[in-house]
Amino acid sequence: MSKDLELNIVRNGACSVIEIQGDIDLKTSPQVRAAILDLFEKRGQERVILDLKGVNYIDSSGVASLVEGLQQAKKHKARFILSCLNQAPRHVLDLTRLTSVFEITQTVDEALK
Amino acid sequence: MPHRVELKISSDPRWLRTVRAMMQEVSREVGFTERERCDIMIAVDEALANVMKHAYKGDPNGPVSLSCIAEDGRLEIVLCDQGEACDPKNLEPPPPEEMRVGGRGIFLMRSTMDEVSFERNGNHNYVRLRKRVKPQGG
Repeated sequence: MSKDLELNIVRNGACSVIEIQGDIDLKTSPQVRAAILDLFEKRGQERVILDLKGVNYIDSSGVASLVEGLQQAKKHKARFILSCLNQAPRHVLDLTRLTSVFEITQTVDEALK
Repeated sequence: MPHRVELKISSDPRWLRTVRAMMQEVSREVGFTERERCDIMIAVDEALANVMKHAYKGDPNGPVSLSCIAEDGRLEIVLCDQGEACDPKNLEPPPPEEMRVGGRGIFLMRSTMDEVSFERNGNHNYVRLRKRVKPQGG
């Protein structure tokens, strides 16, 4: 089987971009969760941007990881931004009525401003 | 005559991706729109993930069967497992806006399908998901 999820973390000072390729589901969401928490808790990042253009699906466990990321951001007075949401992940966030809870940008450049 | 697709898998989460792709194809055959196909994929994925997480408690070796029955623009999906009995009331979600971390799976299933039901029969759990193609222009 091909690799389910690839994460590439680009750090620039106190800002990190996590580029994600693959679906975020019960199997892969622990990887995403661990990466987000590591950046906030251990590396003291002030802004974490999730580049989701390579993500075509997020399930409820993925949503849970995003909510946890947002909680960590608030705790550390940092920003947590979701960028480049595709149709299905956005639909899942809409259904769970969390779209307005997250800071969402169309592009990563917008999130970096 | 109804069309039937059956799949037998283990409760290993690596099968989730395969099942999502299969559900896209099955629902395309029935005639659902792109948005409806996405809804069906979400519901089945969440139902299967619940089986893996709650009925089998993360054991990847439990047997799971998934049947899709399509007839006259209606699709019924039945998941069957032999794991622990799960009371769906215990899995009910927080109010959606609440910032609790987990517990949105059943909410997503109910939001995306016309009917969702849970049943325990002997040592088997059954989840039934039903959706009907909406009339065009209606």
